[in-house]
Amino acid sequence: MPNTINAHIQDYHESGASNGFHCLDARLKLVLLVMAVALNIYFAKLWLSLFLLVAGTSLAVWSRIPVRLFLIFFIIPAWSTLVIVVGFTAGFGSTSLFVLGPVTFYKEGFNLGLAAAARIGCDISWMAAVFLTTPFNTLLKALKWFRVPDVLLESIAMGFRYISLVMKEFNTMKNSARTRGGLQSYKHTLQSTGKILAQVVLRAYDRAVRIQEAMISRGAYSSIINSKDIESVDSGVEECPNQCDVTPEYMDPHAPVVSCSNIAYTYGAEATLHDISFTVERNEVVVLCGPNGAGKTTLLKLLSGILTPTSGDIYLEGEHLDRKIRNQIFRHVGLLCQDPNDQLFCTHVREDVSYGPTNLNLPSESVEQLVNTAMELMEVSDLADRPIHRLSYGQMKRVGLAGLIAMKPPLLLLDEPSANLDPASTHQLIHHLRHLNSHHGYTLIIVTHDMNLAAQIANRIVILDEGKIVADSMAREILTDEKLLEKSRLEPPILTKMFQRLLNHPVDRREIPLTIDEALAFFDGKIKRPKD
Amino acid sequence: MHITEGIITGTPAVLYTCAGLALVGYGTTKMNAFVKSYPEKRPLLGMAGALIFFISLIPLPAFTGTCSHPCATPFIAILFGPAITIALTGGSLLLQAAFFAHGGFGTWGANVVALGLFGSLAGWGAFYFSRKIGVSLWAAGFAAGLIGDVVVYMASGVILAGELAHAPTPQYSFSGYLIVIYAAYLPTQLPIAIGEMIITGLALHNIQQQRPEVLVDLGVIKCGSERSGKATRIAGFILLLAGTLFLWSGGHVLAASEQGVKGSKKNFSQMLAAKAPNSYSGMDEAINEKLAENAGLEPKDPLINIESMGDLWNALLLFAGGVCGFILGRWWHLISKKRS
Repeated sequence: MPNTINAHIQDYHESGASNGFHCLDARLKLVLLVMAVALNIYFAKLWLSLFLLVAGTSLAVWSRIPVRLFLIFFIIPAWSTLVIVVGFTAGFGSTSLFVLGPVTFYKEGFNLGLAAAARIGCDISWMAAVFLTTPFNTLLKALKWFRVPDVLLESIAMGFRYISLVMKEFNTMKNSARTRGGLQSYKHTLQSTGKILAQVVLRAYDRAVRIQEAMISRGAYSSIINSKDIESVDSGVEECPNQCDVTPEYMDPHAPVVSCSNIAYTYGAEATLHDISFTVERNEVVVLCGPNGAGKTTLLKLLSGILTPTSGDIYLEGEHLDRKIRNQIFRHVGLLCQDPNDQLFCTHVREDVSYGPTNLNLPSESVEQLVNTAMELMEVSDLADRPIHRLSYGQMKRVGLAGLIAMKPPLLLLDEPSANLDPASTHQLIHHLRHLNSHHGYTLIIVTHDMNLAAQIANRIVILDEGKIVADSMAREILTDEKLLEKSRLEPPILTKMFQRLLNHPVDRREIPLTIDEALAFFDGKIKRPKD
Repeated sequence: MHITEGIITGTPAVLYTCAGLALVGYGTTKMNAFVKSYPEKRPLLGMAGALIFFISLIPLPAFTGTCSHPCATPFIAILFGPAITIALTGGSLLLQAAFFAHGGFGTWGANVVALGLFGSLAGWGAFYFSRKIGVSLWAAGFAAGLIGDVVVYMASGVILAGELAHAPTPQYSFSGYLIVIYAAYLPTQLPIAIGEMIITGLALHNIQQQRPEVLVDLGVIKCGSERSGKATRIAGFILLLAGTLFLWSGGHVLAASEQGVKGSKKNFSQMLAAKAPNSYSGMDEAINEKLAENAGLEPKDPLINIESMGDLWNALLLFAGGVCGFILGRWWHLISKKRS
């Protein structure tokens, strides 16, 4: 039931109603709410409670809040209100009203119960009127204006953002326990609940660590003095047909975007990465692939400054990635996490997209312009006022990307961007990534197991295995080398595999189509030559 | 156990709200200090907010066939400390009142005091005392869950009884209401306290088994192996359980021994102590008859006179009640068309 109420409130907020109380400033609404509750509770007079109840209901009517929605607020307190009325009637007074068996009901008690019920009705009507007409993010802003400490507001906002996710995880595990007989008795239920609760706490702990990483990569702890100290350089790419101003600004147009030399990373006693050296040039799309545990995500974390290499050096746009650059890493790199729930930690879409640009200390107009452009480009403008926990996975990925490009870092690191996406969402994502690369000049490093995605988007593929680079070549070279892929527990795209069989392993691998377009061209007798 | 909106009024409501604000303010300063010392753990506070909110909504089965929710504050206090837990409880109660129709703004302060202050302090205190005397982690968790929940129940009872005893024309004194409240909520609160005890202990035990480094990082346990001394641990645990029972019965004893009878108000304990004419008389003769006499009511015949019906009819009545109860319990969801 509580979740149902919350869902109804969210649906109503998204309906965009703008009548009556909706238009009033949230701060004023909060003041009115506090005053109404204070008067109601302090004086505790029946006539005052009834008057305030009528006032609260009138506000709801004025705001054209649907009756059903307004009444939902009264359902949960209804039972306790009945208990209060009966309890007061039986527990207070001297003038008998009626007798039911051994219990006598008194007139004075009934009056007290009625007054208590009126108080409850009054408070609920005001809460319904205020919270149905004010989205949660607006309430938080109003509370911030009243100088409620940031740390408390942050924890309330995060509680609101992640409660549904925590509940979902709990219910999924509970259903899993149910299907395996874990809830068949009181004893089993308590045992299973204890186990599941431990998992929920551990996942929350891990998520907090990942959120911290996402916050750092989006400039949470930066100390920017001048936001315009980067020299804007012409990106030299096709102009965006939408004239979007989210093209990144490269600090040094001649330096490679990423340059790693002999980097190694050791976790505990085990070396996760060793002797990694590679360079990524401007506008390249590099796909990092390899079996599970090869060190791909660790490499992304090293490039995004979350981890520090045990040895070796990383250069971003010619600058050595040291402590100073690490504090300003978001100028160079944007990291899209594998699970968008780790990336999107604000309550609503607009808040989350504006989180990064706000950390850049830009003027509010610029922030708003960047946020609007980024949301438009990623096709999430219509979701701007939706709470994050009500987005689909694909929508979350696009909101995550919008949050990154609103900061305009030249290099985007994408960790498994197509994981858990349906085919339509994957296509949409590929379209957006291509657009960002070809029209805005973003350099992309993508970690994926999805060879179809690699075939459609990659210029170059790097294969990691057991912490080492085992292959680094153009996409076609890698994707048509079945033996190499097999050795790294990977598979070529299904189309490529089929043509390899069809052409009986041709010597010239450039003949093998990687995509549907190339396959069609092949059948037309016009094999597309690779870009290289 | 939330105190319902509308119950607490006047000056007590103002005082409880001020106390709630002061407690949350204190907790917030501790949160700020935590964030300053460990900036990398800032999101952990947010996740703790989500956890306290979530755990307080976990449905726990009660022996009576109903479901209710644990307090959550003892468990969160073990992980994050009592001061931070109080602040998080304040935030969580606001969210619950605003978006989930649980509790309310008028009783927010009283709920912060009962759930936040008493729940977290009692749970945390029980846990650290148990650990200090060498009790194992799961047993200390058991003690924290049980004592924390029982103390929240007792504190809520005291707050409610205090409010009711000062209402106009009360029937009973403070102690009378305290007994009535404890007795009314006992059937559901006791199983919930046992449920909270078990899940708190098991959750801590499972975390320790899977990822002890998380508990070390949160400062719940120290690096290295668990201390030995089985006999001491068992003795300590029995001592704690005994302490809980003492607290439990102590509330009743205190209430029963309360001497302050004002005016015509009847102290429940005094009514219970009033001896019936003969040693075999029951509740009706000892209490209800006396109440009826005081109120000037004449005795009437009961609507269903079970004494004159005979054993067969009584047995049939009992059986019919059982069948109806079973039908209602088994197919109650058809009324609302929903099965939770």
